[in-house]
Amino acid sequence: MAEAAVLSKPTDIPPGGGIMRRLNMVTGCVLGVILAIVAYKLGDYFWAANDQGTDQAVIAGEAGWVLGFLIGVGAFVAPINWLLGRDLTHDDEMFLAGKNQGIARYFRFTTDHKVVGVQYLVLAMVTFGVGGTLAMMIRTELATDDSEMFGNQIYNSLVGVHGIVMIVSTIIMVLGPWGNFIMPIMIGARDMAFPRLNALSFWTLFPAIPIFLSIAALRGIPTGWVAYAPLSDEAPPGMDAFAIAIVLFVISAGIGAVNIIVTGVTMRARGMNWHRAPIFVIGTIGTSFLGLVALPCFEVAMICTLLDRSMGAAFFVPDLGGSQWLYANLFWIMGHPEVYVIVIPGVIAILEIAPVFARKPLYSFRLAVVGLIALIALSILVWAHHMFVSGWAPTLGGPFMLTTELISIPTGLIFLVIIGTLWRGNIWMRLPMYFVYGFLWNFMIGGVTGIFLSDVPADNELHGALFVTAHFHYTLLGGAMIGAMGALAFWFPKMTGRMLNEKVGKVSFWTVMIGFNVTFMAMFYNGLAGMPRRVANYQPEYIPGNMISTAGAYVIMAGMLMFLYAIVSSWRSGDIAGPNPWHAKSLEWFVPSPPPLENFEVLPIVTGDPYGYGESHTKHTSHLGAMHRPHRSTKSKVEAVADPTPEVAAQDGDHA
Amino acid sequence: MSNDIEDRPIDDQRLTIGERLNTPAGQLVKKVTLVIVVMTVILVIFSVWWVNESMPVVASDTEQAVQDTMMVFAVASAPVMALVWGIGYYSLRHWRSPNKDLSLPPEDGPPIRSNARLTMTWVIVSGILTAFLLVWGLTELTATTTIPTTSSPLVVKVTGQQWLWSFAYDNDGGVGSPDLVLPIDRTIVFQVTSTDVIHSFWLPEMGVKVDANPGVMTTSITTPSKLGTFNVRCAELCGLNHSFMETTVTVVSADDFNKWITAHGGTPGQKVAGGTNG
Amino acid sequence: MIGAVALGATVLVLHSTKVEPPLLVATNTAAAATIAGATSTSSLDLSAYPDSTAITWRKSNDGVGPHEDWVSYGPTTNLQVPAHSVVTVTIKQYDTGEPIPNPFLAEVRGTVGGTMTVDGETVTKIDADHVGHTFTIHNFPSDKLDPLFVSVPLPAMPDEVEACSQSDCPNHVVTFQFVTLGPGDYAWNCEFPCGGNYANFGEAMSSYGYMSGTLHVV
Repeated sequence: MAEAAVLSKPTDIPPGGGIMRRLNMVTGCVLGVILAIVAYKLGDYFWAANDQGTDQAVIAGEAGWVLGFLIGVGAFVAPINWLLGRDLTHDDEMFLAGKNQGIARYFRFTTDHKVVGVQYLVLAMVTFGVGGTLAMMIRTELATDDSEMFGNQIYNSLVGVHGIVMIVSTIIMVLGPWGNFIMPIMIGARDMAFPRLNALSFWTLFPAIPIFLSIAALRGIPTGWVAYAPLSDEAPPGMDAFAIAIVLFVISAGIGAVNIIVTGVTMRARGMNWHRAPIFVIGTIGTSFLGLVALPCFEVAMICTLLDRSMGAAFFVPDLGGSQWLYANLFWIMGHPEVYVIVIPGVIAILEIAPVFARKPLYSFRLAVVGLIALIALSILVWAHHMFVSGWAPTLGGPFMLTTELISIPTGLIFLVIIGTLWRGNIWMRLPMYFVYGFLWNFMIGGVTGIFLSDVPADNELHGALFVTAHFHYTLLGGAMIGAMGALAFWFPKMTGRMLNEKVGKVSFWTVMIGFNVTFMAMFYNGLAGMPRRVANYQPEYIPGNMISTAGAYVIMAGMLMFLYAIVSSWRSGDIAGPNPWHAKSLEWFVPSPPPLENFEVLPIVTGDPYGYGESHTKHTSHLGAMHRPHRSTKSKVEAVADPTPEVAAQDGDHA
Repeated sequence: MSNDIEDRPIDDQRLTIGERLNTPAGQLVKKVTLVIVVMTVILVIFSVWWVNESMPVVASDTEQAVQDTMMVFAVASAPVMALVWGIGYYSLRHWRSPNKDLSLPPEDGPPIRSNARLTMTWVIVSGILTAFLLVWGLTELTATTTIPTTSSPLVVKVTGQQWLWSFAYDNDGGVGSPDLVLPIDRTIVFQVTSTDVIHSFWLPEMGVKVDANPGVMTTSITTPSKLGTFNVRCAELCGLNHSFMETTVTVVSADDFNKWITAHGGTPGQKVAGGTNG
Repeated sequence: MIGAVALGATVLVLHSTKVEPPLLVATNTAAAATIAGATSTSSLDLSAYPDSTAITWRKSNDGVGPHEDWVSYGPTTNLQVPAHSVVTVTIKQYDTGEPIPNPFLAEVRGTVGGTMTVDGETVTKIDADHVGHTFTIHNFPSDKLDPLFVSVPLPAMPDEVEACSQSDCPNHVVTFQFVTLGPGDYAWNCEFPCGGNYANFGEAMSSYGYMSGTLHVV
């Protein structure tokens, strides 16, 4: 049908389609709500006879919402057409990619990786807003030593929902926006390997957000985000919503991870071997692999929890032959790699930013790769350090202390790469570089405090105390989040075509940094002094520290709101950026900002790595960012400079 | 300022160490080292003060081991932090582009791709530091988990339930108590369990923490070393009133302990089969 | 700005959903305090119901409202007693029961003389196999609070009796006395697992205001 139509103007939306063209977020929500109500009523009808009816009905209702939403948003259009023997036409594919649809494409099942990247960015900012609001509520409650503000019951839920919303946000905050938007351009590809899976990954995550929020209406979760069994078996139906949201999130992350791995491994431009791939690409692939290995354990644990709660499965119920340690192991086998899924993207963003603003090659690219791979490998082998005090297999304390302390070696390599890159550089203090220094400061503190926790006797004192809370906030907020803000400042011009307002950006950087360090230093102090985590009531000796901490948290909030203002105002009316505002050398800076659909008119051929700063013949010469310079030490410098011709070539790209 | 030293290789084999330190590159290393040393001193002073200031009073040998470990680790990590921060600080202070106009990048820096000697040194030093941490940790771990053969330990059964601790002295006539009373200088074996969800039995001033698991008994040992009243807390979120799951531990002399047992209807040293479930 | 307003609004909404049961103030009694350290006497009347619809202050059914199958203390769980006072508590127990998992809590602790009366008979503990509920005031040690730990088991009604919550329903009457020290807020709750879900510590046990509350000593 569509072949007959002729595109008369370039602005035309490709014709054809039928119902597929009319599906969007709104139809998704409508169908989702309808199916949710139907499924809830069915669940209530079949199970309400016994006392346990609510859990099953809630699970059915939430599942109905997800299914309805996915159908309504058009996630199954292409598979159903395929099943019916009607393959999509080229025009259909172009429509799905969001061609010429303006703002509307952001609210559809759009396959263009840049649309998905922006969707992820906005979603991550929204979920940060939610998580941040919850954090402020926690800090407000803790300003006094009694539970005057919300009470214990709501406070326990606040802690848990804040935890999980922030974990989800931080997992998606780098790989979602930049893994999807920047990474394919960085490797010289026109889109991800599986564009429809890319859209599916985002639109599977989206319906999880209302489910997270529904926890509040379902009497909350008393467990914190770890959802330890058997407390989770005791919890109100909010626990069901929590578990379903996790299952969805893991499916979404798994789809996204597979896509990123395949794209990064198979779709690199001609000539981009592993030595010439930017460290961000290598780190992205590694992180996705780690997520793919680790996160399903959480999914399994949550499905078992759902079965425990609704069907009496007793996987984790000790009286009935289950084991709470089984849950703890499953959870932490996910839980520790997961923090590296959060931290490594922040690290690689910093590694990508540092050479550009020190105007120097990345110090020892190979060391960075080895460091990242060692981090990823070791992170799978350390989970039981979260269970040092659990009583499970005390003999394993020594071995896990070993693996945990070994992690400080690859972490040290990453620091060496950063300071080696700064060494004798010509530091260009634009906004992204601020975050590199912020990262060095915070992540160092986060890393060193981790050493105390890796030691079993010291962990006996510190586990479950605020010291742990402060430690992981230093790594996740101070390290990963600062890295992500740096990435945003760095790639914002590429994504939007406009510069991020640096004046506001710098003020907000300092506000966040100061507020952050005040908040969590005070928390370290209270933690060492023996204040437990997750309590709304505490002894009066901890009042001063908590007052300082709460005051600092409000400063962080002010800084974050300023940063948000900078983003929103710059997105609407910032200075036009041009293709390469940072005079950087990786491929994404050689396409227009924002990049057009399918990115490259002509696919590039790569002849060197993107870090050839100071190697004069490559400076700003190649319109495709191709460089000829292989790795070399300072010793071989004289020979190396002898070859001055940049080799730049192009080939007609086959249409994918 | 870096251009004048750019062409002098740092690792020129023919120079002695003294001569090397006088090359421009050597001068730079000296200046940076000075920054790092100053920063190390500041960090050591700060972290020793910080650990002393914030950590609770030492009421057992275990806590003494914990606080020693904290102190040693803090001092050991100070040079590492100083190294990274020192170079970061130096780069901001001396290598920052002096251009007022930030719209264009400064000229490119020296294209240093790597330095094998530095990398080797870094890996070896961090390996040694890690090995030290591990050996220290394992030594302390063994010391804090071994019951001295010379003592007759006091067994206390600890039961966590939502949201209350209870203690039973089954070897002393089955006395039950909502708060903990311990004799000084005697090894205590805590046998910890739970009737419902996971709790975590925590004595902040004694460096003892072990989870109370339903259906399982976990153990932990310590030897109180200070008379006084200290805290007992729950360190694992256990539901609604987790905040209130606290009580006290009172350390008394051996005589006073026996008197307390007797006053509560027990007999020191008399085992009760099955006992009152604490 | 919008963010700050949204934050404020969320805080207010959640703050307003915090359950705050009405306050029950202990009645001052004329009797002279005969116990050292106490300067007054007062009394509290409570009930333990098998059905929270008996609680009149719960009106709505929004998740914190009455549930037919949730047990509850009544008339409220928000209690206030004078400092340095001998408090006489009378609890009418209407509910059936089961064996208690932690027999420690079948004993009377922290009351005057370590005893209580059940239907007029003085006891120091009850049968651990037939416990209905407990009334347990936590010791939350801190710099400003005096230690206070009181735990009293409430014997179960026999299973043959159909549990009901009207005042003329069959019940056990438990009385005991405890002495308050200085002022402060203490947590109290039932320590017998009588809610739903795993370990019977969910639902009514884990929702503030049913089987748990605050004791304000003023």
